[in-house]
Amino acid sequence: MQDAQGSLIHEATSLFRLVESIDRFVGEHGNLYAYTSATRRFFRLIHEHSEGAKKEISAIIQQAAVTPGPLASRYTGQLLIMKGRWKTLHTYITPATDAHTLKIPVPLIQMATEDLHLIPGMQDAAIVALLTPELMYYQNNPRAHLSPDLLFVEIPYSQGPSFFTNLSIYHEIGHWVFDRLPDSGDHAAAFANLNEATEQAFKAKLSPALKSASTTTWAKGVLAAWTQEIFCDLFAVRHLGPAFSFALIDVLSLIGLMRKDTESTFDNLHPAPALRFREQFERLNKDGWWQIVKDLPSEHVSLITRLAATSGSGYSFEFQDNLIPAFIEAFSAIPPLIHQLVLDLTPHCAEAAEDFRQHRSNIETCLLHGVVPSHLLTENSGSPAPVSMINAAYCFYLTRLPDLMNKLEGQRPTEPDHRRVWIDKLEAWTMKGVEDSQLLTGVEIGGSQRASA
Amino acid sequence: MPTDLQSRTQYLELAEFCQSIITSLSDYVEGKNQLSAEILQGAVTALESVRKGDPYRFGQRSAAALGSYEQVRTLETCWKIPDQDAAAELTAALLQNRDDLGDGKAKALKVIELFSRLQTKALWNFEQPNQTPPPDLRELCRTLKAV
Repeated sequence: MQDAQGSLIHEATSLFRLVESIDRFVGEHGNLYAYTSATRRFFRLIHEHSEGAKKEISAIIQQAAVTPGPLASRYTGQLLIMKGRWKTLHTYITPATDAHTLKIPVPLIQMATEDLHLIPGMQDAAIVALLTPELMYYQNNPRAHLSPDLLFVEIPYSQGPSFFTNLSIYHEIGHWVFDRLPDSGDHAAAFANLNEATEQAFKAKLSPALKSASTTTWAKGVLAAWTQEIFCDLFAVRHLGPAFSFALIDVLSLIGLMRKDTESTFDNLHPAPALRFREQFERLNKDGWWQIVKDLPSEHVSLITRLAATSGSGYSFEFQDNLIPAFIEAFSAIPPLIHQLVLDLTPHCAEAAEDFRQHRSNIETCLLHGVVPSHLLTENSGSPAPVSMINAAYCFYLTRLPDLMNKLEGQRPTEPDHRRVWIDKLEAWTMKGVEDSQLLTGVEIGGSQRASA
Repeated sequence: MPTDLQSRTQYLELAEFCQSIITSLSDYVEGKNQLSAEILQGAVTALESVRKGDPYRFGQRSAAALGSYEQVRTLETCWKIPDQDAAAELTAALLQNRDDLGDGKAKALKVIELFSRLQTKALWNFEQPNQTPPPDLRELCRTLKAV
């Protein structure tokens, strides 16, 4: 049987080997493929972090050897925490090495990075794309003290190179932005107003019924999670216009969460889809987008219109087979303050709908002729903003794909395989248009160099 | 990546919070350092907020040590009320009498023992997360329906 010192040395060596093998793996893969600058930065940080960790592990063994009796157990705790951190980091590595530039929508990630840089206090943000085996988008944080500027966005591996559904990453980026707000003094008033109003609503409707610290924390966590979800939706809609709402419908439908029988149900992490789309509708309407797309002959538009008309009385909050009252009522006062916070963060988005209104028709004409819409066919019309290209392309995808296919011999709009081909092409033209726009404005695309980790 | 990873890292935050207190107090017991007012104050503030029944603040940093349901539930499961009281009172006593500690080492050892136990529980929950509903959820539903 090992003594405490022997056991600690064994644990430490096992962690040392794990750190070493992760560092080696990253080094090998970093040289095999091209990665975005953010991913290369992540790999470099892993390498630096691993060097520090190995020194720390050696120091722990030495310190433990000269520490008397029970006080030495603190080093076991320190070692186990380090192990937990590296175990967490371990799960980020393969999704990051899989996400080389051929597998992810680099122009979209670049566009999102530029949008983030326009928000005060977030000028150094860098998006590390991860490919996940799950059919869902996530924003995660390894909390490994790597760099506060790195945000990790998980994209389903099957959707990596596509474009439309990946617009969902803006919602995930919203989570990171929201998490950063306590450290950013730039939007203190709007953020404080939101928190104060939530606290007041909580005290008025829920607080008297709560008996323990953990249940109180859980209840507050529910309101906070709903707030953050609405914030993320509005953050995305503000940047992407109706294309985000359309993409969200497509993603939720794909994973089976856009069902009529559950559209008014809240869970402990998400508000009901009906409320989410109601708030998106309000933002689109106030920002001038909805007037442009409201007459599209599309089920997406009809669905958003129907959900926007839902009211609080039809909503319910279910958690583990319990129907929980009062929470939705407490939350009902909060969304207007979330709108205000999003507006405060994103003044740069104010003119986007007008650009779309001006250019939509010409962009769709380009797409109908199979032309990348970065420079329009009409003389002196200027180049449209990327977000206008994205929205026009999504509208085209929803309503005019048959017009394009019917011009081509042997292509049937009712045949999924034929349709898929032209959706792929439409996405590629749109992505190329966004990329061209980035080149025209002198933006460096971060994916052209190989990793040097 | 496992979808529960985000919530699991909260247990590591709690374990790290415990570690900072254990390390600081161990250094004091070994005679390596004075007591750290900053660390003791952080511990007292966090423990008092739990004792008052409302440790969560809207708009708080997501990495707060005792600011999530999972973290607070871990503490409540590991420490019954007398332990919570002892941890808060002993830590506050160490903070208030940093320059005049007759039995300071004995108090510090007791606090180390309490936080070591909490850290062990937090690390266990990180390895084996067990999603439990709030303990008084049914009572909460009944009360809210009656309001």
